[in-house]
Amino acid sequence: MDRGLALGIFLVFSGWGLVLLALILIKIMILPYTSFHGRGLLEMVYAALRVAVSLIAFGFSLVAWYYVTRAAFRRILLSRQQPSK
Amino acid sequence: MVLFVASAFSTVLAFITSFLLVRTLKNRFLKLGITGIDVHKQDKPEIPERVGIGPLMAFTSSICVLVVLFPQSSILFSALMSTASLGGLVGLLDDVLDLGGKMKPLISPMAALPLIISGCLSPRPLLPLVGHARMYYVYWPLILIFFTVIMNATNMADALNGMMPSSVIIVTLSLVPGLILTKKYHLIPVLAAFIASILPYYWYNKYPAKVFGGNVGSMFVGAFLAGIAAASNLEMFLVISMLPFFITGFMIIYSAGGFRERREMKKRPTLLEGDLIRANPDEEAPMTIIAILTSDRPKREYEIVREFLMLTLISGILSIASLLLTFL
Repeated sequence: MDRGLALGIFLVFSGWGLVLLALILIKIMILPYTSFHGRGLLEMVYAALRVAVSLIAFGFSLVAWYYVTRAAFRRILLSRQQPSK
Repeated sequence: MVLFVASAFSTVLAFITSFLLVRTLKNRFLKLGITGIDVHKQDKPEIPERVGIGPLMAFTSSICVLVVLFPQSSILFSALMSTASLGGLVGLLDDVLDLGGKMKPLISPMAALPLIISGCLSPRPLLPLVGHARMYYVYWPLILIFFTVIMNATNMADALNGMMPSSVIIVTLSLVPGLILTKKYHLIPVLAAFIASILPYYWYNKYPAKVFGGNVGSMFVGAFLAGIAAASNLEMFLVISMLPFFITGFMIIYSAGGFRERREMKKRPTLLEGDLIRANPDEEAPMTIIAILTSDRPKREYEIVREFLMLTLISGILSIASLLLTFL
């Protein structure tokens, strides 16, 4: 198996991991706060903070996923361009 | 038994109609000059384009039969048929008028309207590990975004001979366990009719391609996939099984700075060396899944399609695994 295909397989598995991460964040951070009925202001602020933290965590993972892939991709391309010793 | 016979009849009808239409349109469009250039071949042959109208018409006729045979599901089937047809219409508009990379995603959600208006959608999507979520208000704007993403990801994956139809068949099959586990058996004949209408098109589109589906073909397919997933609340499982499609879409959007048509890109993601395709080493070239697969060594077109199919198969298995994790 060449490194291009290996990177493709890594991308699929890490993409699946990202989707699961998003769902775990939804489950533990957001779903307990889907209803504001009967809650106080402090709890609403707390819920909004949890949503913000989830979004930041997911956004950061997505950007990290892109840059890790980009770095690996460039590395493979550069190694191919260099003459073998 | 009745369900099986009716499904078999509509499936055979879809297959035969699609085969005859694709064959007829291939010759007709070639005579009319409705052609596109196969850029990944050395001799740059002219291939009949927009033949995706064939599978779309075959699918529509087959669903009309299902509507008559299953009156209890006639509204859902009609809505799915309208959704797929509207998706095809958006693609046809793009083929004729060249909507551009920004306009197309804006009008794609139009395809979701028949399903929304008919009341066939339930705002309770099944989420892996989470179960059914209640999203009474957020669901409706999200479903419009979902249609845009799925339709345009399918469109972007239609880059090499046979790549889109073959991988879409795998994606469609990966939804079957979900339909069985959620007891949505009535949608299985629709899936069968869809696959049967795509198969003859795949036969003519596989390497070396004798026809191109055009945007009409890929947008119809994308709208149908989004529609069937939304109708069965399996949206997230479709997303997982289409991961290789999203990798291409996400990478193009992120590295090219927004929705871009192939012709709108300053640097091509791949280069042609004889019959071999290799990743463009230019730092400004967008990173696509085809560029990633050809980053280590140049590959032939069918080799890349085979590897993309392997990635789609892995995604399909991960989607089924996520489903089992949810139900365990």
